[in-house]
Amino acid sequence: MEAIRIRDLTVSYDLKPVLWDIDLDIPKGVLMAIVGPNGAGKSTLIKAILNLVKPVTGKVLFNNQPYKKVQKQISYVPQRGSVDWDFPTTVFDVVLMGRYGHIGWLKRPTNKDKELATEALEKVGMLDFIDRQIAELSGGQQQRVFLARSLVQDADIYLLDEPFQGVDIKTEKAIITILKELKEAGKTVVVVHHDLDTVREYFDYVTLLNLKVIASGKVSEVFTKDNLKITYQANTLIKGVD
Amino acid sequence: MPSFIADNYTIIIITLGTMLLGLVNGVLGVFMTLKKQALVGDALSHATLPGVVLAFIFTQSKSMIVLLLGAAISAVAAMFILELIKRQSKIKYDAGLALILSAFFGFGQILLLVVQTSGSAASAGLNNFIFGQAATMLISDIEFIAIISLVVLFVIILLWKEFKLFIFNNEFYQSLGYSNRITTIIFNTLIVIVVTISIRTVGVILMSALLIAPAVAARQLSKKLVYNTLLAGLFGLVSGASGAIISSQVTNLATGPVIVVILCTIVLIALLFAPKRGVINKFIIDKIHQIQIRKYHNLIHAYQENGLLESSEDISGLLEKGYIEEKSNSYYLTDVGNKKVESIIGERK
Repeated sequence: MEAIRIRDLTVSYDLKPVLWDIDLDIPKGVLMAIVGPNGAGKSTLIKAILNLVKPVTGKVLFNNQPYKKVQKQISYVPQRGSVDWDFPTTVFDVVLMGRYGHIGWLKRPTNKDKELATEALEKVGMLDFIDRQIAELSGGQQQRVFLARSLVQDADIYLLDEPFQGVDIKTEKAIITILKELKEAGKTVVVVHHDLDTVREYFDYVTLLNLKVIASGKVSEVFTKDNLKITYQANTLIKGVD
Repeated sequence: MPSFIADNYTIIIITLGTMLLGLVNGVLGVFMTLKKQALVGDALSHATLPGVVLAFIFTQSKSMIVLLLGAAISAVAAMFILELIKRQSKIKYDAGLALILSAFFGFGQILLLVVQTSGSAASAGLNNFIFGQAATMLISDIEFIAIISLVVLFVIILLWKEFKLFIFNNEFYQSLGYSNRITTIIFNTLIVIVVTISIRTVGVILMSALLIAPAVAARQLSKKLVYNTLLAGLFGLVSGASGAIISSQVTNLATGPVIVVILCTIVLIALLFAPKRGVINKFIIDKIHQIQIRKYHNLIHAYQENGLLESSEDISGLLEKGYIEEKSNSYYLTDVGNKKVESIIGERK
């Protein structure tokens, strides 16, 4: 069964289509990259899946259920640049925010929530920074904090928007290791990704997107020169793709 | 002592009320500045004026609750237009704020002139809403303001975690299932309430300073939201109290300007002397760093060249401090020298 099923999804702003009639099935337990040129609608697709952007038409189902019913099982990692890192708060506080969905309105985080946040920080290698101001972090460290915040949500489906944007190579490897562990644990992980060279190494599924879904499936089957050519409307040289 | 309290009962109560008002303004202002809505308070406070005057025209009453109700309705109308501009038009948000501020305030001024030239003696007190006058308020009005302030503070404490995430990372907040719409409505309602209860004391023209200045000063001094909020509340409280006391002692001195002068002094001190973010401290740290770079540029260069010092300049000082050592007619960085360079350029190899 699919973890996410998208049918007839169209998003349009100011008379311009951003996503056009998307039909997409994301199987359970895969680690999928969404790739495509700038402006292809990759981030918008993630936001439309999460109901953050209202589609003109179409529907999205998670394990055959509507979004509202399964919201707590879905974790979203927005782009790092979408927040003001000068906000007066600490690393620990930001990770704890991942528990807010479980905690609910008006209630406070419990000791259990705090333990989970500490564990997640250890997992992403940021325990030494637990009391650090977020303004003092490097790009890679910021991304690790975001990943830790996502891990404490203890979700089934993870949607990450460009988690490798502007991070150092060590962080990139650390993040992909954790994402692969999530996949091994049966979770579904969808990643908006930029670097075509690493698609084969990191992911087992891929969706090629440019306003429409050009192709979607196993990397070994659909990540081909022809499909990339249609997606990027140019000849793209990719390592290991002929 | 008891006779002092009895003699000054009114001014003590008024001062306590103004303290509470300063506190709630400072606290809410922290969230507003973090949400980059510092100017919303300014637009809304100016926008209350026509509401105050219209309420007077229709009811001929000077009851503060009636006038503030008019103010609140006017502010809500301004808020709605602002949201409409944000969503439906191509006008930039700051331009929208400026438009609303001047349009509502201008309309209010004209209404005020009409009322005053009509010769109604009862209209005299309306001027107090322009610059604020704490000392002429009734005890019952102060009680009303104090109760509302406490309710607002309670709501902020209750919704602390929601407001924090709502402002820090709105899309993530929504992805957790929290309603953006409901949170926005609650947040905006608090702004309207706080602006409304403040205008009589601080005045529509300067009241936004009481919202914003404490937050700006607090941000200089602390790095955690909870300390930011406590400090801003404290600054608001202190300036509110001093404003009420000082303006009550000097004839014809309005409360708003006094509060603003005190607040600006606090902000100026914080901007200049804050331990980490302060302008003076930053300047000094920067200068010391530059001097260090100039003084030890030979060492920094050697650090990049695997420790080999290529310089014919006078190096006796460096030798003396143990930063370099001689090996077969060349000079090399020592461990101490390496550490020195790393401390200057902030790097670990």
